[in-house]
Amino acid sequence: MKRKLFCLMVVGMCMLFLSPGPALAEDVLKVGVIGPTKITYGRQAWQGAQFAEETINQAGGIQLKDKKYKVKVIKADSNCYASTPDAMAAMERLVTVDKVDVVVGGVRSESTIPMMDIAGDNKRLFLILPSADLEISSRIAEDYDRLKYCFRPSFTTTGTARTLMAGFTAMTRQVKAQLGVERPKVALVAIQLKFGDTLINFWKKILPALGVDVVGVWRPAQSASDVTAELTAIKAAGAHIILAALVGPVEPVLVKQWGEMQIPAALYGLILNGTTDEFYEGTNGFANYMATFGNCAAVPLTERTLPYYTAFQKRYNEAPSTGATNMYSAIMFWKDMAERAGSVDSDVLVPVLEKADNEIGTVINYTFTKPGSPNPHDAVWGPKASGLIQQWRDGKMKVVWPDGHELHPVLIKAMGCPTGFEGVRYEGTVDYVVPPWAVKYWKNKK
Amino acid sequence: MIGNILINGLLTGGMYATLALGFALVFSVGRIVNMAHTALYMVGAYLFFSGVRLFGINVWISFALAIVLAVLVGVAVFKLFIDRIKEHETAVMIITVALAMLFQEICLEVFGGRFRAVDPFIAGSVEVFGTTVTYQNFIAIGSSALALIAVWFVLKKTKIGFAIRAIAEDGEIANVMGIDGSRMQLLVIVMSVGLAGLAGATTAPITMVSPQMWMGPLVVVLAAVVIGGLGSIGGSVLGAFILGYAEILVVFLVPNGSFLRGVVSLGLMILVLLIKPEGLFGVTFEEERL
Repeated sequence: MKRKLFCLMVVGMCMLFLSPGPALAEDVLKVGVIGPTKITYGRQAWQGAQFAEETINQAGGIQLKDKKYKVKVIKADSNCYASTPDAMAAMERLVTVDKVDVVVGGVRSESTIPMMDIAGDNKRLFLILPSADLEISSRIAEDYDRLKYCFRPSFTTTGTARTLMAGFTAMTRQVKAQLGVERPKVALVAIQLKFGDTLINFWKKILPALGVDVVGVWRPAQSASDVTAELTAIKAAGAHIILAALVGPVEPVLVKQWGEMQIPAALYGLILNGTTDEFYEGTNGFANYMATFGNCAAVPLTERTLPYYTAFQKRYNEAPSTGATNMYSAIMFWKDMAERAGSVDSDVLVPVLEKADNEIGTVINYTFTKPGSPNPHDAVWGPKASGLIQQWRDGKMKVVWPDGHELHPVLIKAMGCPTGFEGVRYEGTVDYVVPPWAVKYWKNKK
Repeated sequence: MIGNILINGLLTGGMYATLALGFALVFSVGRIVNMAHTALYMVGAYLFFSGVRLFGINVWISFALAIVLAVLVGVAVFKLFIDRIKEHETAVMIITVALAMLFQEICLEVFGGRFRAVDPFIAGSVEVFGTTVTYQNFIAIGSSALALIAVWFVLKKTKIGFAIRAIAEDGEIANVMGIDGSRMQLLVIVMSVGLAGLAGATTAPITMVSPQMWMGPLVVVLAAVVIGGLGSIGGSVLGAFILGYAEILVVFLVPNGSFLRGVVSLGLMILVLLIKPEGLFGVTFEEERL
């Protein structure tokens, strides 16, 4: 009798663990949010998802034909930087157990690629953020029927590289003027991930044509806790500029030590988490004068940007981060497309997204590359969808690009960048400033 | 470049040497492989961070408190978990790994996963042979040097040091001669954890404090002790400097491979094990010395 009772208890506990949780009401749409929730970017993305859920539900929900639906965001920790199998399991759970209507996220390209297969096999719309590797969209071209449910409403490596290079040329103009250097020297720093490899190879080819010389390449470990040796070597190499592509624990370490040691080089690049107040405080303010890629500022990138920025700041008492903005923007875009289609069915939404033409988003206008192209379903980069370059100035993030100049001819020719940036300069944009200690160092060296 | 390598190697090696010394002390005297040693270094760093940033206590007082509290934590851990099973070396290793991960999870829960910066003892930097060295670097290397000298003095020139060396050489005979083995072991634990806490508190302002900061140094410490020789305190310190310089050489000579600096420790350890298994200054199986 006791044994029977014990067995029943065990079976009951197993059922409890394996159950997908309480069933949601039928008038609720589920958004699966997948990413590494234990790291800064993942936490920020989740914050953006929750803010999107609140915003949509406070406005009454999503209108599909004649009925309104509330939205529920469901978190899945992919643990993608430690384990791709974990990421696949998290995706599998979202799609088959939680049965979400759309999945948003991904983050690490290496883990996003197998997640695409799961989305495709289950015919689930997958909005990929911010995994940048081009292989993601080239796979869609190779296996369109299976992977057509995957879209990338954030920039690819190409798009990110374009923004970085466009901002780089604007910054270099200032470096030349403020340091009195004809041909600045650049140190390349990137972590050992796929997107880092791509950017390093690309920069080595294009930088000489932009009027700068590469003096070395440094590849610190993503989890490095001390990069004083690397920074010392960069200073010894005579670099005027450090062009970086960083993500993960090494970001605040490198930035803090750069500022603390007053390395006499402008620090610029893709420092993924570098736009938040948390980051600035975490480096003890040594992030001052660092410039990085961002996607949101208190400037009217689209007609929706300032209302979003203000509401987010009021709600959370901090400026929205890149991660939060990416996620919020993608979910709101999905909402708009679903309302237009009158459905969240993935097969119905795919052609609707493919036809999107300059759809007004939160921080960019959305147009996707077309099926039949080598990299379909990627957000098209251009004057209305370019991201920003921002620089820390005494605790405030200031936009330094777009700065109103047309793109460098080399970028137009070599990178296939579209024109149309002449005159694009948002209110509040300032010129890039070289760190004062660097100006002093190089002036004394003459 | 040579000046840069010399200075940076000294800074890196100094930090590793402080940690390796503490680890080697406990192993030599108590035959305890304390895999939680660098976790106590992390505890020291967090205690220092808490004092300075959370409670607003003066940096020097926070520094002293961090070491004292880290020692108390270390002694409590030793008494509660290790003392009763110290004869079983494998069990000790497993328990200390579990303790290290427990400390990590506690720090993650209490402080979150964010990387934390701590104010330096003295802000600012100077140029030394073309290398920018912060004042905090000077404090870290200076305190490491003082700690190494102090430990050497205690072990070589004092009665307590003599007793510790006797226990390390032959615990049974030392006990018969009236030396209290348990008390000496406790003293060594205090010294060892004190060194870990010192390294944590002086390094925290240079790097950043995070719940995972114990993992990288653990690999280096193990490698330093193996390279220098199990049972050789001086060898462990030298092994630490060898590894510190090896890492710096990788950064300067192979910058494209600077992410491999951690792998260098493992590679050197394997090389030494293959060529000279007892380590560079290690004891052979027939004799033991401190």
